[in-house]
Amino acid sequence: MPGKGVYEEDGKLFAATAGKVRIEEKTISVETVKEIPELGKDDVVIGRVVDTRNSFAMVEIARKRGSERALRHYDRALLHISNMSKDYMKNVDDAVKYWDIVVARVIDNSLRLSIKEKDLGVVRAICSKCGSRLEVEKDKLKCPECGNVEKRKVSANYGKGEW
Amino acid sequence: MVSEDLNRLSGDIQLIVDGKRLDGRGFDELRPINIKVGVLKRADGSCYLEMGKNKVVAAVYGPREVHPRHLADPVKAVVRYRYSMAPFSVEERKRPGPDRRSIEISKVSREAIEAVVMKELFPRSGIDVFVEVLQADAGTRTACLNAASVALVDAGVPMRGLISSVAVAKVDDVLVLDPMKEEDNYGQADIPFAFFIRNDKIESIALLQMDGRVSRDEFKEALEMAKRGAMEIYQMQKEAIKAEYMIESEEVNSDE
Repeated sequence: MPGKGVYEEDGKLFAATAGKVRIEEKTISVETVKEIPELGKDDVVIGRVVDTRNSFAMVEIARKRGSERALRHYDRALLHISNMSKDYMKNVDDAVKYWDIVVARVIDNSLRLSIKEKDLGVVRAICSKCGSRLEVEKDKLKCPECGNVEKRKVSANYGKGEW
Repeated sequence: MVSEDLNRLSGDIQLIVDGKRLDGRGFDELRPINIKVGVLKRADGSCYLEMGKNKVVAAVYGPREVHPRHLADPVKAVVRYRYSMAPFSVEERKRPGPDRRSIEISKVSREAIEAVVMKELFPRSGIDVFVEVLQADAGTRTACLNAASVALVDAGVPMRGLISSVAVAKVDDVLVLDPMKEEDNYGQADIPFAFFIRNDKIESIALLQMDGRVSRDEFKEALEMAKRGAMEIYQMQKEAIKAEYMIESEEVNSDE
C-alpha cells in the first residue's frame, strides 16, 4: 500500500521524495527531511482576518506552528462565532475585526478554526478609527494614539511577537 | 584569449588531436562535476553545480500561492522555470535580462521538469524554479537542468523521478560527450538531451534539441552516448543528495 511520499504506477510503488523508507503493516512510506507542511486537525495556525460577516470571520492562513516553511496554498479558513469564545457571543466584532492577526486551532479537516483557548485569539490588531497598533489594557485593547477602546478575544500572547 | 584569436584567424581548427580532445578528455568522457545541495538559506530547496567551467545555482520556491491569481490552475500546480545568465558569466558582458535564447531555454527546461514533478498534488499552487548561470562554458542548459532537479529534491517536492541532462556534439566528424565551448562553437552539431530516470533506469526523454547536421546513425549513437553520460551524472546527483540527507538525519537523531 502506498503511504506518504510514495506513489503508484502500473502496479508498482515508487518513492516521490528523498528520505527514509519506513514499512509498517504493508504500508510503505518515505519520511522526508524537508516536508511540505500540511494542515490537519489540532494544528495551531497564524493568519489574518480578511473578512467578517454576521456570524463568522474568514481567516487567511499564513503559517502552521512548528514549521518555518510556507504552507501549500489553502483557501480561507472559517472561524465561526460559536468558536470564538467560551461564553455566548452576540457579535463577531466583539471578538475579531478586519485585519487582525489571530492564532487559532484547526478543529476539523474542512479547515474550521477555534480561538476558545486562552493562548489563542488576536495577537495584533489595529485601531478601527485611526489605524495605529492597539495595546492591551486589562481584557480590552486601547489605542495609544486616539484613546479608542476596542473589544477582542485577546490571546495571552498579545503584542509579544511570539505564538 | 590568445589561442582562440589565433584559431579564428586560421579559420579552421583541429578539435581532436591523436584521439584526444582539446582538454585531454576521451570522446565519451564528462567534464568534472561537483554538486552541492542546500546552499541557499532563503530558498525551500537549492543546489550549486559545476560542470567543467559551468557554474550554476538553482533555487526552488514552493509549492506556494500563485500571483497573479489568474495564473493559478484549480486542479494542479503551475511550474515556472527561469534560466538566466549573469552579465559576468560570459567573456563579453551580457546585457542583463531575458533574451530570446534564455526564454526558449526556460520553456524547454520547464517542460522537462514538468514531466517529473507531481503537479496534481498541489492545486492552485505554484512551484518556482530559478537557475542562474554564474559562469558559462558550453552546455549551461544541461547543467541548469541537473541543478534544478537536485534542488527540487532538496525542496521535498514529490517527483516521479530525477532529471539528468547531458549534451552530445559532433566535432571533426566524431561524436563527443559533454562538449566544451570550443567544441560547441566550432563543431558541426550540438544535441542536448535530458532523461527521466527512475529506479536507476532511463525511462524516457524529457528534453531533446538539436542544431547542426548529423546522420540518422550518428543520432542513434549520440543517444546511446548521452544515456551513458546521463547515468553517470544521475549517480553523482544521487550521491550529492544522499550526502546532504545523511548529515540532516544525524542532526535529527541528536535532537532526540
